[in-house]
Amino acid sequence: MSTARLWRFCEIQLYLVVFALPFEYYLDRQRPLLTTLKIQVAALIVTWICMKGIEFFQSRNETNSGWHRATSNRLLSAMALFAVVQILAAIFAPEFRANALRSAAKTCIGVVLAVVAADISQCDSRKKQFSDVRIHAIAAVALAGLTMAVLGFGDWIGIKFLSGIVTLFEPTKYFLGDSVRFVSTMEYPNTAASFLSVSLCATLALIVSRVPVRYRDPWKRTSVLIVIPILGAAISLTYSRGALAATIVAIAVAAWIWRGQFHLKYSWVASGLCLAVLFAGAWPSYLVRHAAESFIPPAQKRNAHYGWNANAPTRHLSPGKIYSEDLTVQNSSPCSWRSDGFGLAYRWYSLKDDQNSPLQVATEFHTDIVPTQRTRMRVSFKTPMEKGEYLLIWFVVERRDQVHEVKDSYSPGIMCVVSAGMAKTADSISPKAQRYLGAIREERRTLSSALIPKRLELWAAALRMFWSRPLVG
Amino acid sequence: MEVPGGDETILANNLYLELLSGSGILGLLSFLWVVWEFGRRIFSQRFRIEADGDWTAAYFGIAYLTAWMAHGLVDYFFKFTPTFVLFWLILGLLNFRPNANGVSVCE
Repeated sequence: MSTARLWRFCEIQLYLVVFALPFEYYLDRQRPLLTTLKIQVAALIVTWICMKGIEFFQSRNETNSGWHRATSNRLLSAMALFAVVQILAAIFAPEFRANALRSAAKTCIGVVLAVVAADISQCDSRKKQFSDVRIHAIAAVALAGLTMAVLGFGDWIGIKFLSGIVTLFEPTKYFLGDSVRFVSTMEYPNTAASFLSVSLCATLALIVSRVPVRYRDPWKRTSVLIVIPILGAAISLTYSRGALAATIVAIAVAAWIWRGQFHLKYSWVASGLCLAVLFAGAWPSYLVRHAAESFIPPAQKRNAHYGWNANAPTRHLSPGKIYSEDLTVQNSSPCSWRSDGFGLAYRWYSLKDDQNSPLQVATEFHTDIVPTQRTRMRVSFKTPMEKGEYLLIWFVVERRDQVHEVKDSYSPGIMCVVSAGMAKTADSISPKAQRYLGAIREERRTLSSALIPKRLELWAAALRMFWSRPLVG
Repeated sequence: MEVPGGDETILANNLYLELLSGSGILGLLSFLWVVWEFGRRIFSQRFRIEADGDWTAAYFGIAYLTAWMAHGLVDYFFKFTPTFVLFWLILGLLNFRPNANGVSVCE
């Protein structure tokens, strides 16, 4: 294959990667590396390396074949330093080193991706106008966001076909109070909001810079603007305050910087419409948050609480396998939980025959847990051999003659679908399980909100980590 | 024992504090250097527009960078593949280096 064709192949792959960003499909949820997006990224990098290799051998005597020419030396140095620091931080990490190494590897891949993208967009004799690549990539971002928003709204209003597509990528629903957060095909509402925000910026960039030049017809000019309220409404329905505020600031800053270039009223109208839609979107977001906060009844104490994140109410597990979890336990009782007698255990509650499994000990406490103390520990549990729908319920247990539960120490149930297959859609859950899920959601809301760390607590914890190891974390 | 990878991460919900706690002052400074280079080059393009593409890319670059940095004050997105890949792709796409035949200047 000639380098020109290979380069063209690279370019198309780049657009496909950009368009596919909000449509990451997990081939196997147990193996997060196996996703369509990661495979696409790997294919892009491999193709680019092949292209550069062929190009290198074909033009060894020429001086302009170096990949480093695609980006400036200063930017390359900055990116390389960032990657090196991440690697050093991972090597010297006092704990969770595997996580840190994964993060460092991701950074290195990111740097390579930046070089690949820069090289593909570089003007060269073998390519056409370099600016086309950038414009097409920006258009791909805008189109991906619009497609994602349309799919999400289709799911929102209950169009079955579109709901099926959304569920294929992301079966989980996220709630704020009683309101479903807009997530469409992405994993979390906040990442969806972030991508929609970028997509809105890309759309506005295309509108203010190209539409006034390309289209004279006022109808065409006006019809293009319909994209802005679609994306703006999608952002506001994610109820992500950060994304909403960041998008408003970004568009205001861009409009202010480019005010000299806004020689047509159209550009001002487009920017103004964008800001108006976002400000209007902030209002329902505020109302829903306010309603959700005021709905929470007075906190009820629980001795055990499952998972800080608790984002995925339904888990799909294989029968007869051992899984591990990190659980956080807080002792809100007046008694100390001694390491020589207390621990964590679990039961499986079968929805099929309404039977509880015997209590199975997952771990014993390694140290005493005094009243008010909170601790995080890794536990393992084994799934039932029989397929079906189960509730996994955790308990704090005490071992005397026999193991028994500490009173009121149970966690809200975790819905688990134990099956050999990979059917992970919401449709695969029975109506009975759906009713249980609703009840569990209610129960979670009655848990003490103090058990969930606030943003400021997370920031304080991050700063404490920084002070303990200030140089490389 | 077969143990599938679970989520062991609690994020700081702040890009800068996450980098600070995870990779120290060197990590944060090196990241800010990357962002500075990105911003500097994008910002310098705004007065050197010779084609539609420059206009669009510079406008989008400034808006994207501002949104990313502002949203980073209350959230962290390097953990998630779509937002992570998007950041590095945009960084590369909008920070090309002009070559001898380049029709635009960005340094």
